[in-house]
Amino acid sequence: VKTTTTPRHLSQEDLLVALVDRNDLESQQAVHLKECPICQQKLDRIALRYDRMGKLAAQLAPAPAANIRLPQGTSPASRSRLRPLMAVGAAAVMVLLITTIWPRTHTEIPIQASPPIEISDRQLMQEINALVDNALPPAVQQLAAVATPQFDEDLINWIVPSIQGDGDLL
Amino acid sequence: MSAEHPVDTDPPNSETSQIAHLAALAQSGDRGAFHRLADRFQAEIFRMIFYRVRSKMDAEDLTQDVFFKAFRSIKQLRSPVRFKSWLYRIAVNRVRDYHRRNAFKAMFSFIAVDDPDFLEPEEMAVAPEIAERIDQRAFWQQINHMLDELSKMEKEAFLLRFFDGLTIKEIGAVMKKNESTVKTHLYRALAKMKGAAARLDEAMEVL
Repeated sequence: VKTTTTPRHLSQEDLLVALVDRNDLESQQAVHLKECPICQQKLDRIALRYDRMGKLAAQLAPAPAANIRLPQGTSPASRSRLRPLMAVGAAAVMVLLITTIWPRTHTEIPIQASPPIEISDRQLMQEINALVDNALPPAVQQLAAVATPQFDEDLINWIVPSIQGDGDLL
Repeated sequence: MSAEHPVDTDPPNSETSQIAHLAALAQSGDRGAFHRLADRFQAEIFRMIFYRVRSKMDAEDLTQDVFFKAFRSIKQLRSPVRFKSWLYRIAVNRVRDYHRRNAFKAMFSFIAVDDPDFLEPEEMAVAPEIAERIDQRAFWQQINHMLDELSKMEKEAFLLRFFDGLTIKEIGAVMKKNESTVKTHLYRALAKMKGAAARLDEAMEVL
């Protein structure tokens, strides 16, 4: 029995469906693809593009410099005992940060009413303090990371905890 | 992925069973077996992370972190046959942690995480000749433009399929999605990238 090829060629969308999984094509389209060299060629071309992209990316990516180091006798239990203490410490550091760094970088010191000479003294002191805090012009501060507070990694881990559920696979 | 578009089945082969055997040994406390698994997957996981963070130094640290975490929790792996998917899931989660933490740090340091200057330039990661560098930069920029069009899920499915070479089944296990959802994400990603395909071809042509 001779198979009849569907005359209509596969659309671009059909070709993408075939690229993801050709089993998802409708039966007529699947038969057409099998028998039509033009559609087959188009699909090959698209597949080749993404294949080449993946291979190039692998070629251009650097190689790891060092081998994996495994811990000697890791004890997850001892780590977990320390965790509450670390959390308390991290909370304390966080409060300290919020109360010291945040107001300094986000608010201006209010100027209180006082006699003219005291005002000028205070203004002078404020300008000096501002220069001590941020000696560089604003445009350069980001480059020099002057305004970047240093975070403790444990603190970051506490505030933005790791995603759990790596192990519950099948 | 080969140009012959292989049907996406997952037949057991000698490599899969060897990996499963090593994973089972590692679960029973054999450090040597875990070391062999690390040797087998280190470069692959490193590349996978590098594609997502584009910083060699950070990719080194995160790769170390992934294997450290895998070593500590390998007993939780229920099916050693799934070791590869499990390892990739750990890596995907560590990359997500990395981006979330950078976003948090950026809130305080006024650094835009999307700012290209925030990323380590490729020439710091690899050190080819200048002309090659420019071409390579154009390639990665084109990839960035293409990926920027995609949603998070589409991007992850696309990277896992076409950069990391995982099967649909493996991607489903990594992303905790069923296969038809993965295929939908992939199809949408490819459809969105249709317009940029010609520019990608150009960028690849010079390399």
